[in-house]
Amino acid sequence: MTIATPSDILLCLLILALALGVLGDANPFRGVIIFIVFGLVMALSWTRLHAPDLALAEAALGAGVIGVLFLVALRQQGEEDKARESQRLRFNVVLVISGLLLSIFVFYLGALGVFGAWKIPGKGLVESVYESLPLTGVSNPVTAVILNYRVYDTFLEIGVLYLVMLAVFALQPDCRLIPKPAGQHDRMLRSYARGIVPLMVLAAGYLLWAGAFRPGGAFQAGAMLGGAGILLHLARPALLLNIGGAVLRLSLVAGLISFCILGIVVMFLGFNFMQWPVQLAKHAILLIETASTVSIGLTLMGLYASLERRLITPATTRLEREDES
Amino acid sequence: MTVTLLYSITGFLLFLMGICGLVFHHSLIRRALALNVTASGIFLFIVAQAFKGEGALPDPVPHGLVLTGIVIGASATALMLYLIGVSRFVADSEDDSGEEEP
Repeated sequence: MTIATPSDILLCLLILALALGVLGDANPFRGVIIFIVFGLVMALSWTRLHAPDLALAEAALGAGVIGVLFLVALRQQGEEDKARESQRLRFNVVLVISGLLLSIFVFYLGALGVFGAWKIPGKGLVESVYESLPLTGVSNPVTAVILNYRVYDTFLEIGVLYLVMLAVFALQPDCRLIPKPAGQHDRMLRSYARGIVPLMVLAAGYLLWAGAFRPGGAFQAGAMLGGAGILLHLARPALLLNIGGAVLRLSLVAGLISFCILGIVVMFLGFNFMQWPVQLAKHAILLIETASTVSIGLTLMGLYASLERRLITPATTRLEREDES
Repeated sequence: MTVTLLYSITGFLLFLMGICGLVFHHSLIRRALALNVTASGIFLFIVAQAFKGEGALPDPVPHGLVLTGIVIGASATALMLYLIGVSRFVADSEDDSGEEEP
């Protein structure tokens, strides 16, 4: 076991201090900004713990997309909400005391040896994962776990993403991805987007391809694509209207559908559901990853567009109601 | 203190802080933030268990679990924030109809 270095301790203290800032800061806007920094520092700690795949996902999603979603949600608040929410957390003392008590209780349990039962006997699954890596079609162990060993879990998780999108769509006044112009006349934003969006799409493509043999993969690429989509949506909302409803909807479910189709196709070849044959594994994983990347990217962008739209809806529907009457 | 223990404790403390924030905050958005901190604590705890020392290869199975967890967490947060917005809209329109009727 490796002994923790001073930089480890510093990183942990920084994480805790930032978390305290997220939860305890009087100003909710500042809380969200600290949360974005918190996500970036978490990405740093994933790198420290030898999990670069997680660092990529956290930097793109935890710090980027979630932060933007929170900022949009904050902006749509009314003034009285803001006044109510800028109250400082008055329970700092309670928080500290309950935390201390719980920690003492848990360490007491730990001293009793209760947690010994959690320890995985031997080396766990590490050796078996690396032993059968040549049979999976990829050489990045995390991609192998996600899309070969535990592909059924990932299938269901893509399903969860789709369900979230479906729920948000169902609550929309009309179920189209119509983005309302937010920064349409912001020339700076438009020229910035013109430069950076193609590069982001390129980076997403690289992450997707690199996922087979080094850190990267569908989730990271999807998050990157989602970020590019959000930027595009901010800069040129009209561009997405031209894609058309059917294509957009098909792309949203492309990940889920590719899982289903390929899972059933291998059954005709005499394998179990989603049991990739060794020769075809690489192609199956690449196909699924590509479809999932598009789906995840569009889903994230759609979720953002829906939140943004909600910002405008109350006022416009009220106006429309007045017009009707 | 080993690296695994240090990061496990940090994750555990994050979890506790997140739960406290979830309980004590009144604002829904800040509760959503607290829930995200809680999730980060859990992820940190799991990944700390996967760390096998400086020279050794880490356990990729927990990494896979946490990776999907991060993506699901992001989409769940989006749904949460959307529902918060919808609930406010519903509350607003109910207030309006109450004012208009008399």
